[in-house]
Amino acid sequence: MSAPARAYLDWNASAPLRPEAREALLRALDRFGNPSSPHREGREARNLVEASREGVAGFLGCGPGEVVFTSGGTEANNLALAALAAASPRQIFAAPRIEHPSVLRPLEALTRQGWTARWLPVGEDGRAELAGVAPDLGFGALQAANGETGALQPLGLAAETFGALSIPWHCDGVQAWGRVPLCPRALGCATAALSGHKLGAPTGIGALFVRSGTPVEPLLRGGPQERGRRAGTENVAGIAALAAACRAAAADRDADARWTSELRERLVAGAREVFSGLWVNGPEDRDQRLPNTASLSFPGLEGEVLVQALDLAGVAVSAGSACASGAGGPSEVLAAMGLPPWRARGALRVSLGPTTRPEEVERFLAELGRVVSTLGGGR
Amino acid sequence: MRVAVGLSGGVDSAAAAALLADRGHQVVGFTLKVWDSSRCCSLEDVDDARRVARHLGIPFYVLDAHAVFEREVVAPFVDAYGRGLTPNPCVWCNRRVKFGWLAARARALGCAAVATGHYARLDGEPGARRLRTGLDPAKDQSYFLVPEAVGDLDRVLFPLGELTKAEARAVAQGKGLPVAAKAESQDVCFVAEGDLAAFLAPRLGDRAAPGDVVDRDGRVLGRHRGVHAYTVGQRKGLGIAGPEPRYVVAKDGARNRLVLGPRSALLAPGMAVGAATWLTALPPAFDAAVKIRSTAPAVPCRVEVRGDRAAVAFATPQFAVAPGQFAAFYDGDRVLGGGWIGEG
Repeated sequence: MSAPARAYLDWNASAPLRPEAREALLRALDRFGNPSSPHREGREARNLVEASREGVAGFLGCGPGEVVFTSGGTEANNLALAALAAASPRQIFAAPRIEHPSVLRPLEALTRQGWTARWLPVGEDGRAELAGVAPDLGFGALQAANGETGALQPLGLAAETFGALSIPWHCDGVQAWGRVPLCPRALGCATAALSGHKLGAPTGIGALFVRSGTPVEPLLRGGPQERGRRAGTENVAGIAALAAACRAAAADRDADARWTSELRERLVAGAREVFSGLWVNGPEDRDQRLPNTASLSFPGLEGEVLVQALDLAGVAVSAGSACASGAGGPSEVLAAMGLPPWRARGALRVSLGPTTRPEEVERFLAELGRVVSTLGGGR
Repeated sequence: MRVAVGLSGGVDSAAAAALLADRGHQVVGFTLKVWDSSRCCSLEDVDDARRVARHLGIPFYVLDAHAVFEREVVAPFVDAYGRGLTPNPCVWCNRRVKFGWLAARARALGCAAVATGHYARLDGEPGARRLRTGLDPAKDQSYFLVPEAVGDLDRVLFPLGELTKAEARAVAQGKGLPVAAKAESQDVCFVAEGDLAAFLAPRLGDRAAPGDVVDRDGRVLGRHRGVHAYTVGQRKGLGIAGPEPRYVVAKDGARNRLVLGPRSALLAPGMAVGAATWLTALPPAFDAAVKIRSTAPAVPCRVEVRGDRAAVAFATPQFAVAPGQFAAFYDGDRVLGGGWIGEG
């Protein structure tokens, strides 16, 4: 068997297009009508959007009227937080500092407008705690799963705690959907964000679950699309692809989880053989983390160097989150977990997906061994 | 072999990368983010560098070099001004950041050498590398490239050394590189809009305090607004009237005084040089040419070496020799070494 040209192990950044999504996308590209137009071409486009909305709603476990299509996870998070802030009688929010930048930055913007931040404590395992949630809160935010460590957050506890106090909250589900069960209606959260390209849809499409009765002020004003919650002609082809990706992801979810979980165990065990001083970040318990994600810290090495050396060797993985220029910054997530700086600097995130092959994991381990011995890393 | 190229987003480094790719090397592009909100590594320059890499089809990485740049370049730069010196940050940056930090990073990624778009030549074997001026006298940058130790140039390449600026531009144009028509940059890269005093004042704190302007006998002539804001040899903007033109002849950082004198007082017969690197075996005393500023021509001198120090006698007295500046010694197109101009 010949070695694969590249090993792509960065699914939490973006997943390859699913064949089902590609097919739906290509078919929809010829539905050129404007879904708002009253003629047949417009109607056909509108029908495709609404049928897709039903598909996505089925995936999210909600009604079609509760789905707002957006340009992706970032817009969905921003839209949700703006909606919750606008409807809140009190200018206090609670969230952990391990949220995605598209949650943290809007929250920080609120503090500049006079809001008080109550940052929820985060354990060393990367799981947030609900201490500090009190009746004086305006709203809360808690992600379903962390994209860097894979830590599943205590959503059940959040549902109880926020629910008992009737505090509306937002759940960023971007890294969880398609990997673990997540039902926003059952959780009782007001809003929940979905990103297409983590699921095998193309980039540029996402959705926000908005629980029925939750008021949403649009960020983009204009036409009456998405029931006035998001103006702009719909991304018809993206929406169709998202629905197809959701269908495929839902059908395969449990098998995919078993597959990636097995590969992840092999990967972590193999990495320990290469580098015995390795630290694994995030929860140890399988039930408390995503099946596909491994966050590894290499004492004495820099994650950024490892990522570049592995890239040149044909393996795609990730270090901390990327900044606008592409220069890696220190990981906000690992810092928020209270880990020492070397563990954040030396961190590598490896994330797998349904079509990851065992050869890719072996390729990663072989190249990791070469890179570590070049860099003089400790065994 | 795999070669790292520092891509600044400008035309020179782009041409250097193109030449190396033409020679069959596996080129990897790097841009260092050393400073925020400066001309040299703005997001626009990073984008330009990325476009060059895309055009050449080479891997490209942006490296966060803020910490090393602050430690090795900016902090010593500010400190030197606080001591009344006139430092040269580009020499430090090449030594510590490019030949030091970037070279180590590139080695870790399997790169056998680091290349830059400087105009200078290198020959000789590793361990005995010789630095020579760039073939284009108008663009020669060897002054900035004298290393801290001889071996530091062993794994360095200057692909533009044999080229003129026009030829380098033609290489970039010939490849259709998107930065072929980009303008040159000159000033200290991390100082916004060339306003040095405004950059230094908040960083110097107490050391930017106003003080006395005195003549060479210590008589007070007026007040200065912080010695960092003046240059040795400066005549304009001193705010001191007098019968004959007066110049800044010394910056006394320790006593926070600015010393003025006539033009004749700025003519130095010689200078002391410290922390020198010698790139070749030299006799205890020799004749050479020396550049005392990046923009000054090399002038004849006699050098007496004592370890890493040297006493330099100019063939004709030189104007405004500024302590803290770098001095590079030449024998024709060969760079013999260089060191830091001392006080007094």
